[in-house]
Formats: sequence, structure tokens, C-alpha cells
Amino acid sequence: MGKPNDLVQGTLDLLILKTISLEPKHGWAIAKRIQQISKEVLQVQQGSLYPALYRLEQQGWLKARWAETENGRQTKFYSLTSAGRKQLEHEAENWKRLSGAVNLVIEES
Amino acid sequence: MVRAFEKLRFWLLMLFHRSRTAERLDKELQFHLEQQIAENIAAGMSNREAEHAAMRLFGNPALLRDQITEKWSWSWLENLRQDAKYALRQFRESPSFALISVLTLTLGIGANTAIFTLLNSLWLQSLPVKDPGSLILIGMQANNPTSFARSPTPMMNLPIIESLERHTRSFSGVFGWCDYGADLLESDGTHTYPGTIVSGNIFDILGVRPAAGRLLTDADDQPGGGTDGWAVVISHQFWVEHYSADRSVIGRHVQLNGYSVTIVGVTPADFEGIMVSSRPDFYMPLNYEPVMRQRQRDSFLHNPLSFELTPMARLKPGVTLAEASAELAAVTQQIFEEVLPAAVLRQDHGSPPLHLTALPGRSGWSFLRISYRQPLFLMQGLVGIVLLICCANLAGLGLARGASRGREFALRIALGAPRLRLMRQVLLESLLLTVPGGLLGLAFAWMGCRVLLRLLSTGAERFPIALSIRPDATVLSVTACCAAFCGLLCGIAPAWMLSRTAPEQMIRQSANRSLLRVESKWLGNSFVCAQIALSLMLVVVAGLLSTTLVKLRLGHAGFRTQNISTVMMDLRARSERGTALTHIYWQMADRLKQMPGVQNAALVAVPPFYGNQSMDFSAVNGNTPSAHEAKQVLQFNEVGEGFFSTMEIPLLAGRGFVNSDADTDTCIVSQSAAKKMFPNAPAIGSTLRQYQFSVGGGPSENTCRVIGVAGDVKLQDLRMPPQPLVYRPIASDMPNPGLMNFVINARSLADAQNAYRKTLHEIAPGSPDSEVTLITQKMDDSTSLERVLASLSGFFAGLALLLSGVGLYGLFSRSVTQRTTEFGIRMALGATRLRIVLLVLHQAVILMLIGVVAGAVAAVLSTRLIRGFLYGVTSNNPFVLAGAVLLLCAIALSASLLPARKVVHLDPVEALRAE
Repeated sequence: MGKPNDLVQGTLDLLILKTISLEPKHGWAIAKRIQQISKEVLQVQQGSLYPALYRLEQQGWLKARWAETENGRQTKFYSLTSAGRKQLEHEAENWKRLSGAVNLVIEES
Repeated sequence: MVRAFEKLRFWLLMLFHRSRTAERLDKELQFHLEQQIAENIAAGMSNREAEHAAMRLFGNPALLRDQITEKWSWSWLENLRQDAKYALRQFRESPSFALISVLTLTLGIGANTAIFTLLNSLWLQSLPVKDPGSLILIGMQANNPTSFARSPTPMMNLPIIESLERHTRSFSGVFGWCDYGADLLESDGTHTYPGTIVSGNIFDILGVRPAAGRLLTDADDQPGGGTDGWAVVISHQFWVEHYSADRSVIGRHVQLNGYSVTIVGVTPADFEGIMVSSRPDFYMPLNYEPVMRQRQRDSFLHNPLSFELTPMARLKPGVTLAEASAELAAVTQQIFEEVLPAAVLRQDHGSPPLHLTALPGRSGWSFLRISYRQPLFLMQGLVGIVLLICCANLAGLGLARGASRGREFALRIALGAPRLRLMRQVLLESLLLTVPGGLLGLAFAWMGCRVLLRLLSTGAERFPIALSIRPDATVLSVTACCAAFCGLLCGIAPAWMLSRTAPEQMIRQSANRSLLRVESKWLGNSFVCAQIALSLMLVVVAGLLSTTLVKLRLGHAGFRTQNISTVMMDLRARSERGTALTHIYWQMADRLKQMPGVQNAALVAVPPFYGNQSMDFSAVNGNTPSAHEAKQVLQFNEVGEGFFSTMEIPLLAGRGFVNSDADTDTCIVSQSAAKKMFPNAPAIGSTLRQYQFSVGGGPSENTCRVIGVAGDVKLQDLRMPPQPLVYRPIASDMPNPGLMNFVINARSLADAQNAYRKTLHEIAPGSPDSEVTLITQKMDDSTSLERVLASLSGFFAGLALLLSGVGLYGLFSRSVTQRTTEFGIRMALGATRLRIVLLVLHQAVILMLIGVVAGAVAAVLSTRLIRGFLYGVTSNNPFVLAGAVLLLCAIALSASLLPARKVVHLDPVEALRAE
């Protein structure tokens, strides 16, 4: 099982930004979503998730809203700011270039 | 743009809504945890299991929270506040620790600040004038610097200054300054105030504006005075204290040094002249000096061979100090040829052995810079050692506290406190102690400076040393650095120990067992050794300086000092001159001897400890032409009949002088002068040739016949061996300005004073009265610097001993407490109490030996630096060293015996039960 440390530095940010690009989500949902989509390969621990969320919010890429969940609990929902959307495009671009390059190297040799 | 706004919003949110945000973070994390638990239950776990599994996965929520809030911009400040609050609570819990620490710091920091304040005032502070950076002093520097004439001295005269202005182009103006007493006639008699004579352009060059009236100008500094007659300017302080800052004082005529002068203005409050250690109340023009002297012949103003004026100049814009120096050196020869009499130049074969040079004048000048340079550096060194002892003491104390709080820290580490944070807290605690320590230190320094100046002033010539003690930015920042240095030094050892604490071990240990790890013991011990060693150094220095003082005061000067007093008679106002005046002196001496209570009295030109004069002499030998006689410089004095019997100086051969015209071409030589001048022949009956030089008359010489040989004496300086000395009689044809001294051997000072007053009233009625001074008083004054050094070093040594004693006592009483269980077991197994006490002493003796040996080596090496201050004792005097070692051993042993006493009353059963 992948630990957060195993994630390439900065990849968690990309995953978080991507996960909330469609609709606002709370922390638990973000972690679950990443886990689901990656078919349980990527498991995000709270110890990395919340510091990352607060860091991204401080950077101005996320904005947070205090709202009610479907089962009536108050928690924080994160959504993308317009700067965050640009950052997402930028990071996705970077990632594609990087992973493509890594693939090339691996397949070549 | 939007993003910047978002950032700002977040930042402000964190600043103003911290607690709400923190609360929401908790809720958010709680929500996450609950979701996890719910999921676990859904996966089939029991409630309890689900909760535990979630918690395990989640980790330490408090730590996570800290990690997140760490990112919030203000958390470091928040943490600092928390740490400070915690530290203050710690101090409240152990006030004695806080009190001792603050007091120790106060002493250490205060002593350093005090000495540094003096150094700063004397050397560093800028004059409060326009652009002080472009001011320079013009000094004379010997071409071949010897130990005698090492540093250039700014001493010149008006002819040189005037010639210099003509020949140089580096300066926009040059002025001269000379401290000069001001006798002001007031309603209750004449009082002397500190004053100065200055060039008329001084205020213009310095750019000083008057507080009232106007300041002196070139027009005031003319022979005969200016439009206001003789104009003088008074200081702001004098204006406020004597005239209540009354503006009507401007234009008032007062009698100053015997003549009427006009007060034309007041200097600004912050201006105290260019001499940092004197504070003139009266500024008089240079050209007033010949007037005050009454007779032109006594005036030094136009005398090219007097060196009384301190010249200061302002550099033209763009000219550097080095350029000015180079120009001065280049024109030296030209100036000297123009100014000095041809006879003087011939003596030096046409080229003077010195050159003019420019010195930075930003901070003014003081002659104390020459005499106090080394003493102040010595004091700075001593207080530096005191500071180190204070730091070692506090570091040991802090370490012990750290050890006793070991369990608290271990617990906090186990609960997840980051070590870095704990270390920061320990450091903060010690830095917090230095704040009150530093502030109290400043107050201590302020008082200390005053006391020091008063002590040093007892040896001052006429007026107390008027050094302005202003704590400026330099002093404050040095104090702050000092305090921060102490704080770090005291805090770093416990912080370092903390970083190596192993929590499990620490918590598992019982309360009163040793919580100190090996390193901490080693560290604590080395602090104690350092204290012993440094204290030993201070004690040795104090011992050497005290021995010096005792040797100086008890050493035999070669004459009677008990009940001998001196007095200066001022007959300048009388009309008699020359022979007539000398006859009055003789009458005075004769009458004085007959007064009740007076055993003996005699005339003397230069009384003991009032300076000296020296002259060239050569031995006249019938066979050698006078041009080939070897000239020797000898001390010289003129004395009257009965001088040797009054002073109880033995006459080894021949006779003394008599007050009569018969003794005019006679002289008496001291034993060493006789040996020096007449090594192969009896001195009595030989002839000496005396060379003199006067400005008007040029060189002259006369001969005198030796009629007696006197014992060697130290009439001038107790520190130097007796100098070869030639006495000439107070003869009727001697040139004299109307000032003469007496030495009186009377039953008491009061008797001497009464006798002098009565005699003066009889023989020269109407002459000003003068104070009779005991010669022992004068000796005290001449050794005031030694006394200050001895008492200061003694004070610091005592302080160091106290601190070290307390430090040792603390260390041993802790180690005894910690080893109580061990001692209990030993006693239960049959060890005698004596054995246990020896066990405790064993540790003390080892520490003491290491400290004492290190200190003795350091003392022997470092006291070589203070050889210049010692008299009659060498820097490695074995008795002083042995005494210091014994003293420290005694203190160390008693500091360790007190805790060892506890062991004697130890009940083994109690000790074991405590486990």
C-alpha cells in the first residue's frame, strides 16, 4: 500500500486540486475519493492531508466554506479558486511531461 | 491579484480569528475521525475496536494540530508568548533561583557596563558639535618612538599654531585650548572654578550656537581685548546654577582672575568643551592669559618652548586624515625653523627629532587617555573575568535545575512535545532572566561609574574629573550584547542536556535517585572547576595589586612623612621683587619655626609629591675645557635653611644651607648624584656647572660648589627609585614670581595651619591665606590609582569567591541528596560515617585540585600582563600565589563540608525506606 511519503513530492497537491475540481468536498471525502479512483493504491493519511489542505488554502489556491454534510454534520468544504484552477492545469501539464519522460526512460532500457 | 487577496484574507483570519479557526480545525479533524470509525464499524468491527483502529491510523491529533497551526503565520509569536508565560510561572514557583540569577547577572553585566561606560565616555563618544568627523587634533610624534614617547600628544603653543595656519592648506581653521582655573570674585570671597583659555575662532570652527547672548569671536581674542573689553563666555550649567538662567547676566562685568571681564554669552547645554574629562565654566580668550599672569615674563602664550595649548582643527571638505597628516609632517621642519629659537634647533643638529601629525578629533581629547589607558583596560579585563564566573555559576545552576526538572521534560517529550520547542523554552527562560539582570545592571553601572570617578578624582590636580556619564547607543548595545551573551551561555548547557534526554529511562527512575546523566555531571563539574580557576586568577591579581599598594605606602621614601605638612604662600600681589621678596621668605621661615606647636619649618621651591624639575649639570674638572664636560640630566630643587633637619633627610657629609647671602653659589647633592657626577673623587668641595635656558636670554650657565651630600629620597614619585638630585639654596638673587612653599613639622595639622596664618599675618599682612596640606594626604592622592585598582580587584575577587562558594555548595548538596540511597545502602552494609564523609570530600578535593591547578597556571601566565602596575612585588610572587591557593582551598572545602554534615546525621533505615 502506498504511503504518502511514497508519493512524489508535490503530487499530493495535484491530487487534491484535481479531486475538488468538479465539486467542493470535505477532507474525508477527498481522502476517500483519491483512494477509490486509484483503486486503493494511494492512501492519503490525515497527517499529510490536513497540513496540505491548510497550506494550499494559505497559498490562495483553495477556499474553504463551513457547510453541512449529507448526514447533517458541520464540516469544512474545500473548492478551487480561479488561481487554483490555473495551478491545477499547470501542475497536470507538468505531471504529464514528467511521467511521460519517466515512462520513456523505463521502456527504452 | 485574486490570489493575493485570498492570501491576505487567510492571513488576517489567522491573526484575528485564531481561536475560532483552531476550534473549527478541531471539529474538522473530529469529523474525519468519526467518519473513519463509522467506516470501521461498517466493515464489521465492534465499537471499541473501531475507535482504537481509527485512533491508531489517525496518530496523535494534538501533534497534527500543532503541525498544521505551525503553518499559520503568527504561531511562532503565539508560541513565544506561551513559552514566556510558562517561564514566568516557573520563576514564580522558584523565586530564590530567579532572584539569585538576576542578582548575579546584575553584578556581572553592571560591572562590565560601568567600565565600558568610562571607556566610551573617555574615548568613543562624539563631541556634540557640527560634523565632529572632520575635526582633528594636531599632535607631536617622535620620529623614533620609544616606550617613553610612544603615542603622539596634542600639546603646542600659539607661535606653532599660527605658523601652522600659514603653512598648511588642509584646514579650514585651527584653534588652541588650555584648561585654566578661573578665580571669580563673589560677595563671599574668591572662588576657583574650572575654566579654559581658547582661541577666539573656536565656536565658529566647532559650529556651536549660543544658548544666550553671543559666543567668543576672533575680535575678542586680541591683545587688549575687543569692543566688550575682555569678553568671557560661561557654561550653561554655571548660568543655571549661579545666575538662575537669568538673561540679564549678559553684559555684566565680573572680576575674573583679578581683572574685570564682561560676560557676553552662554554655551549650549550639551556643549562641555573639547576636553572630555574637564567641564569649563568660563571660556576666556587666549590673549587674556598674559594679562592674568600680571607679568609678561610668566606668560606662556607666546613662548615657543611652552607646550600648553591643545590644537584642534577642522579639515577642509574632501581632505582626509592621512592627507592632513602627510602635509603636517612635510611642513614640520619649516614651522620649527620659523618658530623655535636658533639655539634649540642647534641642539638637535638642525632637524627636530619629532614631527607634527593629525589625530582623529571626533571624540575630543583628554590627558586621562594617556594615564588611564592601561588601568581602564586592566579593569575591563577583570570585570570580563567576573562576567565569565557569573555565567559559569548560572550555567551550573541552570543545569542543576534542568536535572531536577528532568522528569517534567521527559514527560513532555513522551507526550509528543518537540525537543526543539523544549530547548527553545529553556533558552527563553534564561534570556528572560537577563532582561531584569541587564536593566538592574545599567542602574548598578550608573552608580558604579560615579563611585569610580569619585575615587579616581582624589588624585586629580585641582578639579574632580568631570567625565560625562551618558549611556548612549553604544553603551546600551554593548550591555544588550553582554546580557544576550550571558543568557545564551547560561541556557545552552541545560538546553543541550535536554536534547539528549531519554524519556523512558528518566520516567522509570525514582524521584530522588540521580537524574543526572554522565555528561551532565561532567558538564556541571567543569563549570565548578572553571569558577575555581577564574576566581583564583582574580584573587592573585587582587593580591598583587594590594601588595603593590602596601609596598608603596610603607616603603621608606627617605624622609619623615609623619606630621609634615606643606603650604604654598602667594605673595604675587606684593610690590617687593627679587632680593626683597627673598628676605620676606627668610623672615617667614624664621618666625614660623618659633610658633607654638611647630617643631621645625623650612622653605622649599617644589614640595614633595608636587612634581619635579630637572636640569643639565656637568662636573667641572680643572683640566678639561668646559665645552668637553659631559652633561647629565639631574633632578633639581631649591630649598632653604633647615630643610634637611625638618624633613629628617640625613646629611651624610658637609653641612646644610643657611638663609643668607653667603649661600648663593653653593649646592648639596644627593648620594646617587654624587656617585654619578663624581665617581672617583669626594663630592664635597667639587664644582658643578648648571645649564639653564630662558626664552628671552637664551642659554646660560653658572657654577656651584658642593657643600654637602644628602641621603637619597623619593621626593616626586613613590613608584620610582630615588633619582639623583641637586639642591640649590633659596638665594636672594633667584628669579621668582612670588610663590613659595614651606614644609612644616608641627604637632598637628591644625597647629601648622594656625602657625602659618599667624606668621603670614605678622610678616606679610593682607596676603591671601592658603590651605596647609599633610604630606601623607598628598601621598594618598599620588597613589589613588593604585588604591582604586587594589580595592576594585579586591571587591571583584571577593565577589568571585562568594559566587564560587555558592556554586560549589549547590553542587555538593545536590550530589549528597541524590546519593542518599547509595549512602544508606553503604551504611547498612557496614560503612562508617567517616568513610561516607570522605567519599563526599573525595569528589570535592578532585574538583578543587583541577580548578586550582588550572587557575594557578592561568594566573602565572596572565599576571605577566599587569607587570606595569606592580611595585615591589613580581608578577609570579610565590607568597601571593600560595595565599590565593590556600584561600580557595579553604573555601572549596568548607563549601563541601557543609553538605557532608548532612551525611553524618543520615539514618540508613530512613534513607532506604525513601526508595
